[in-house]
Amino acid sequence: MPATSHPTTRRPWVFPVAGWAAFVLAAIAAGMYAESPMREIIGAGRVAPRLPAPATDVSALLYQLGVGSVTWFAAAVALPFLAWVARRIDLDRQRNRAIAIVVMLLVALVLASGTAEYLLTFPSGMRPPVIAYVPMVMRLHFLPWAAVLGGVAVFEARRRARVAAIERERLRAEAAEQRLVALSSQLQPHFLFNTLQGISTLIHRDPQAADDMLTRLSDLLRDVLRNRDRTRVPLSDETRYARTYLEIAQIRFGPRLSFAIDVPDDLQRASVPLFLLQPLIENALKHGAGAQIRGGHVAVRAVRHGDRLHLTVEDDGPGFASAPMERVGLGNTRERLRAAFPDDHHISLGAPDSGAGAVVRIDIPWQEDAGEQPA
Amino acid sequence: MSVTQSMRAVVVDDEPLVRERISALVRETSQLELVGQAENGLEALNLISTLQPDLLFIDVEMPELSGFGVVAAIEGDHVPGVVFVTAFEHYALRAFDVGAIDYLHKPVTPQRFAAAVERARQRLQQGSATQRRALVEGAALAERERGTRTRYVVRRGKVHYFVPVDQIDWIDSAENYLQLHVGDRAHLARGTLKEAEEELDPARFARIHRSTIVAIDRVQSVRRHESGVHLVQLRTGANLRSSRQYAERVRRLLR
Repeated sequence: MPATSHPTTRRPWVFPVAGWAAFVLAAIAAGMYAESPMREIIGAGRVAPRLPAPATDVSALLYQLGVGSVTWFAAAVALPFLAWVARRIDLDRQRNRAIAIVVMLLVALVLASGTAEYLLTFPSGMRPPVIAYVPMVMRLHFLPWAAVLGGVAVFEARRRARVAAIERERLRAEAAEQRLVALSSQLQPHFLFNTLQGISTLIHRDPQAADDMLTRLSDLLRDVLRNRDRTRVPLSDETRYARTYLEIAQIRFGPRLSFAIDVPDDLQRASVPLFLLQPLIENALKHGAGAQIRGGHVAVRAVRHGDRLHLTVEDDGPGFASAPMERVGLGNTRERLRAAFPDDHHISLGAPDSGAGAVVRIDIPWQEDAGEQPA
Repeated sequence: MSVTQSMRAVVVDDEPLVRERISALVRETSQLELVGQAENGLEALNLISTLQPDLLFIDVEMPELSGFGVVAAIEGDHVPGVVFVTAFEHYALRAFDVGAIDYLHKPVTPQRFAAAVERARQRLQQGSATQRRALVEGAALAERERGTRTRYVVRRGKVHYFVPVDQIDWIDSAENYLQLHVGDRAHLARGTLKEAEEELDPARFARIHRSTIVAIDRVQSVRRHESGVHLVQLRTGANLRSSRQYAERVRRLLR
């Protein structure tokens, strides 16, 4: 992905700095608008240890909230430092410590700015008793600092969520790429070489048949290459691929292999993970006709049940009970289903209703293919 | 064999097109005479024991009995020279290790085929019986590396057949042969108990004596006989004695 397509990653400092500047400006503006709370103390020449009167207008409300006090300016100035601290806290490993840090920070900041104001406002000798000053400190200092810390926390949480989302996306892309690499090796070299051997035989005896087989091999390779950048394809693509693959195998194995593909037309537009069926078919071939002197049969079926799509690949080989579980293709299939439908798929191995053999049943949500956009 | 005599060849492959192609190449080669074709390992063994060919062109990857398995099951003094044909690179390398004359990679080209025939001509003129037996042993080893054994090849006269491992009740040995006991019948297969112990699934078979292996699920009862020695009775009625050396293994049967 080109670096310029992501404005948030290109200039990550723009939004925090702009937000901080806006906050400082707002604090200055509010300070000019609201009356200074200090006047309450200084102007009256006495301490006002009482609850504020109910606000009657915006100006009074802001005043009661302490807006415009020096504390807001201090908070505005301290913002970058607070953001820096927030950024360094590792929530995964030290949640309790993070809570302690925030609480201690809040207490320390309130105490510090409260004390500073207390000391600076009143000349020594004229200072009111500290206890009388506490409610005012709570109102004028606790609120701004708590608000600023809360704001920083929200901002940081959102930043982290965004970073996590980007990371998740990156991991997903990476996983998809790995799977694709694995997929390209799904069309195994021995299949290619055996097919080429078949063509080289037919050329001498039956050029037309050799030509047909070559055409099918080209179709197969074209499908592999064309779909390389996609993770989902319409079921029709998978069906076509399966058919071509099995047709080639049938030319190779002769009468020892038979197959049936039963995918109704109205299911062909279903959206399925790329090459979902291919490894299963390869397995069915390997353990059926490929492993039995008498040969074997491979059956591929798709059925829709409401909003579910059921896919089955079946062979009449020795089955899962007697064969060791060396079915490499299944691990790959499981992994790809997990990536495509994390909690919404089911895969089971068993024996077909008809008796001996192995059947892999896949149950995924019915989704229609939206068209040719790359994943 | 003199230089003027042609080499009698058998072609073995489960895929008809490959068989057809290699057979055609054999027919086109004046030094070779095509005496037989087989489409699976058992047929191949039958042909080898009846026709006694000089040369075998054989696929490695075949159903039920691989090319290695076929060579490993060849009995008697006559062992043909072997050229493996394979679509798998790693089998090709393995083929050389076991002492094959050559390997041919699919798709087989006439040039490569001719080169293999030339190698065969040289090797067959100077090859000793010991070398041939070494080939059989090597193939057995290669076959063992491909995984646990699921069947034995047994010969009656010139006909070969399979005894699936899961039908076997117990095995004892006689010289270089294994007696595979299936119900009240016994089949003779090439091999030693040591090899059998390595090839069989340890979850299903246990060695209880220097000369006895039993199928674990056929065991009816185990009774202590004397110190370290047990009497193992099978469902088929057979009574077997364990030896001290394998007492620990027998004790595990009891669990």
